[in-house]
Amino acid sequence: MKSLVLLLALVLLPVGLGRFGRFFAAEIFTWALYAMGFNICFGMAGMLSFGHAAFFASGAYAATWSILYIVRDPWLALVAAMVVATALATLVGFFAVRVVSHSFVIITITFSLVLLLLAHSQKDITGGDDGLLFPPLSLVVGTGPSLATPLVSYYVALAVLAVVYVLLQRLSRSPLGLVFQAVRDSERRATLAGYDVQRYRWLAFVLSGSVAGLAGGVYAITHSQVNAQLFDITVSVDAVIWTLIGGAGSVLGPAVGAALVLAFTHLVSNWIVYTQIPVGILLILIVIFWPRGLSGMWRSWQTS
Amino acid sequence: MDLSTLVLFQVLNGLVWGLVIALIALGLALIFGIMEVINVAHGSLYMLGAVIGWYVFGATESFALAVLVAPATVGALSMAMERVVLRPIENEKVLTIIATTGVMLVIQHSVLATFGGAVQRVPSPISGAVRVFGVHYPLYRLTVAAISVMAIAALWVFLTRTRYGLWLRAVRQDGKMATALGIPVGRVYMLAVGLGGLLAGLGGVLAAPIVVVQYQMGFDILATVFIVVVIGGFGSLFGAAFTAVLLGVLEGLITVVATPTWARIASLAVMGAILLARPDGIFRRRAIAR
Amino acid sequence: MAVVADELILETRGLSRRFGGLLAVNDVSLALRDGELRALIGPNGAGKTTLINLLSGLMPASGGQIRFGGEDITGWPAARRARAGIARTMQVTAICPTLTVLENVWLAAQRSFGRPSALASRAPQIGERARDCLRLAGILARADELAGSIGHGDQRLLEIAIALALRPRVLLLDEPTAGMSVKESWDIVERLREIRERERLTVLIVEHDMEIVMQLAERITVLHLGQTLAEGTPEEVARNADVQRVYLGGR
Repeated sequence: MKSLVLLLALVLLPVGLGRFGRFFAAEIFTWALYAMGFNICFGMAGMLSFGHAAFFASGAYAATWSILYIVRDPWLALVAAMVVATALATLVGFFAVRVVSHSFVIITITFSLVLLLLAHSQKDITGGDDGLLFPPLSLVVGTGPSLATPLVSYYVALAVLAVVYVLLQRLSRSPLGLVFQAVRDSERRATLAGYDVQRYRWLAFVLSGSVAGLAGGVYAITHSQVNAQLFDITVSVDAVIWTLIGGAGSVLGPAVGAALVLAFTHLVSNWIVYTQIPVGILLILIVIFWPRGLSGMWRSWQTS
Repeated sequence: MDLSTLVLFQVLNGLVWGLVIALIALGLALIFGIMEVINVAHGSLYMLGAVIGWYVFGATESFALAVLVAPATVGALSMAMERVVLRPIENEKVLTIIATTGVMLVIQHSVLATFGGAVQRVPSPISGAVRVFGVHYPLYRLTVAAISVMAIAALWVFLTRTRYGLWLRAVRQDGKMATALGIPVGRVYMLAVGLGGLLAGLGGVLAAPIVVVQYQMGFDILATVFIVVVIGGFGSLFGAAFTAVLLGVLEGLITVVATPTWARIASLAVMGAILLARPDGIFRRRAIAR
Repeated sequence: MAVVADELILETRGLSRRFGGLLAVNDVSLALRDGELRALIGPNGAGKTTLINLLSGLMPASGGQIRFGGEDITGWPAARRARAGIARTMQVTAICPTLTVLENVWLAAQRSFGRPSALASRAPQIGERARDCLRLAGILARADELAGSIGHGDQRLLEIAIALALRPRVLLLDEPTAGMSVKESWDIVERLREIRERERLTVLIVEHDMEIVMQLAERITVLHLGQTLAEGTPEEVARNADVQRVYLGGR
């Protein structure tokens, strides 16, 4: 199958990459995971959220606090990240899914903004813009390869991404996945087929926040630091942009979008200091000349 | 300062700030109301207004000139944005998010590249204070309030009494009918977006001496303004203005007892609660723009 | 019209629905016997679709009671009623356009197999049931097409297939033949007959075409201005003077 070939290629890829290449790839995997999580909410269940930075950053901070105050174990940190993000998504989602689509967007923005304000104001626990640092972790507490090594970060990020990808693929083809998509397409139809639309929206939102939080946890353990800027609205907007560019209609689409935009940004940084200008121009050009984006291309993955 | 003076002072602050937000929110509501565009670049238009205003004021020492040049420039840029970027994708909400995000990135980082990322403090162009209800209140802020009110009034007059205003309202209500009636819809779109940008730019130049000027100042405003527009009742201009002032005063009041950050958080929480209670906003969209 | 209580599958008692000053449904007491095919007719604005909305739970009642299988379901939300066995088709079709025709039916079919699992793959038995329903509705050929791309008539058949897939005890059909050609309409009639033979279903059908009504219905309820004007066998209703006065044979 295509995915296995891709996975194999990614497993072998580091051979051809230097330190920076491996590090950068690990970055891409992390953000790709984040985007895929976002898309459970957006592409699968049809709810546009502009506040997913909240889950990503909360996950990153939860992981960090777990490392700083409990035990320096990366895997527990990831669990902590997911637990906290899930709890937040459960709380916010309960209220958010009860409102109409544009109000839903605003609730997500509001929630994320509140967390951003808190992160900046509570500098003693978040470190503010300077953030929190810790010495790089080892894979197993105290021993084993260090996550400071790009190669190790690469494989950790890839492993998490691959596992989540498989699970999301199964989800999209499962009975539950069908319900999410039905709720997206026609709330009325889903209701008449016997499904409590609010419940399923809530569930999709929680799953989405969980995965975004997990991505935050991966970010924390591979960077060995976090800061309040992870709560910025730009992080939320990134998820939306990457997904729209790569295609919201498939599990892998958002990951591809993230990879493309990040790679383009990096490429451009060789010649231009202010990389976001060409990125912005790229977005505008894509929209004018290629409105279908890449989603058409990637739709075939979903039905295979 | 005794309590009642403090409260009054903060309420006035909130009112002034609320009026500035109202300007920006009206701009966003205009753009959304007419084209269903979610203008992610709106915050950067505000920022641009502040930056241009700061630059003009620094170069000419004339506040009046700054207040004229900045919004006009931002308005012109917005019209260009509509013509070049938005026109091809008018009706696709999803695409407008990408497109306006692109515009935002370009504007923001162009400013960064040109002026640097350092925070600028713009000196208050009008100094001195005036007694208002027994409180010594900065004259500049009163001027800001006055200009905002005049701008909003001018907008109202424009929309209800001029031909272009009428066209704008017609297109907002029913685009197809407007085309059938021979209204040049393309020009109206451009006008609406230009006007929306102008208002944002005006908000920016007025706010510049009050807040710090920096290339990222648009983000915070963006979130606030979006919240205000939706809670006001998506598409309702009156609702947007009303909610903006309400938010400003509310925040002002809360700062009497809490830090500014907590005041923001509290007022955001209140906004969120209102939205949950009335998901369509306080004032649903009226048939005639007010 | 004496009916024995324990044979009633769906009944309403004094059901009403108010919109501001207007009583769209006014004190309607309807009793469907298990296995009956009842037609609901009346002029435009009589409240037929509103009544169906009330029965299916898409709209809350302003007064009165709805009982299903002897249980009071007046306060039940629509999804719960669908799970309990009341299925309906919509006059303006509500389908999932980006899903295939088969997937649309699958959605309903998997409902009766318990809570949708997140990780299991889609079970073959559900697929069989879904295809069966598509065959009964006459659109099996379109199974793999996107529901948003099929024609209007096929969309209505899809609505019927979806409703069947729920294994309902009661089927509410809201003008299933509206906007269809004569041939298509009678096609549906034949299918409905076949469906009733296969599954033990109680059917309440809102219909304008009086020929179809006379052919299909065992009993007819006539609504006028939100109230029950007459009720009985087709012959009884056709002879009814009030009905003749208000609603002369329909279209």
